[in-house]
Amino acid sequence: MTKIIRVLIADDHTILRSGVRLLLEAEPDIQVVGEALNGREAIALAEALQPDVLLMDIAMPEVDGLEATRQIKARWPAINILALTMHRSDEYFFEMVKSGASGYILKAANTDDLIQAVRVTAQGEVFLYPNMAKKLLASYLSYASGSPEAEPILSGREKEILHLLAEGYSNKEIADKLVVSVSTVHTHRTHLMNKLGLTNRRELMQYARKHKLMSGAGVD
Amino acid sequence: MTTRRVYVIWSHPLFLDALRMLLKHPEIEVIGDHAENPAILEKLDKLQADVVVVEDDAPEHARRALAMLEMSRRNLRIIRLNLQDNRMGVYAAELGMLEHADELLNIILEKEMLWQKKAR
Repeated sequence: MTKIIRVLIADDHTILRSGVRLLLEAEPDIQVVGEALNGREAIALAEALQPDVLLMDIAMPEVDGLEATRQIKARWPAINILALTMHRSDEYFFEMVKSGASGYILKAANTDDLIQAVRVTAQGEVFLYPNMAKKLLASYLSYASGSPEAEPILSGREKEILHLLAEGYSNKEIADKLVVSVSTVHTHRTHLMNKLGLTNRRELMQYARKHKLMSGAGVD
Repeated sequence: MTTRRVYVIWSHPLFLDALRMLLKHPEIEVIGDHAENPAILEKLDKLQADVVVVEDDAPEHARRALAMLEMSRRNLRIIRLNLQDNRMGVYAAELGMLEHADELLNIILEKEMLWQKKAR
């Protein structure tokens, strides 16, 4: 008899969480045992439900997916954590791997990839989305050869907009400041966030702080 | 029973599949979906969709085409969803937060207006 894989989903996005639940439950060997809206709930439900696989978003309120993964793996190492995220950035990927995640899949993946990832990680194996496997290999080769990893290249305008966004200016204010249309600002913003693998202003500010692009420190 | 004809435009296949599953309802017919195809916007009018669900962060050309379509067809409703948070918009100006997936169905079926949701 096929063993049923018990899955806990932790994601603050309502539609994605509910939809992914339906997609997984359409598979005969997968059962979704619970849903968590943030990292704190994920930790509590992991303890109570002891799922085979915890599908973990990274950017969540209260406790984020990185911290939740660290705590869960430290306390219940048998729970396999599969990161399901929009983040393409190397930084999050390596942090999740270091935290103990045994799989990493992007929300840009297709349903078959997700189902395969759940099955693979449930067996205690590692699942990496193809692009991520390449990153891991590139990082290893870079480490082995002693050369640093390349930073994403931003255009001058993108750097300028990144700086202003990090300073807290709205799209409209930036458009007025740079004498361009709001839609141009929106387009630059989308491009630079894609390049950096960022999904919201909070991450953008974290990035700007880390790379010393803000004039004021300690802003959140 | 009135059936709402819904078209979904989304660039993430997983989210597209998830939405399709959520929209399985006797009063909703998903007449098509597409990940990324600007040409489809020209065909939307012919498809006689009642509702278009589109990602908030859609490319500029898509947003512009949808805005034109919305203006030309008063009975077409465009629902924008955000994948980064739970924001939902109906038409250009109204924004609200989704708390439950059922709320999307209610908005499509016009059982709940977004302004009512915001007032709760």
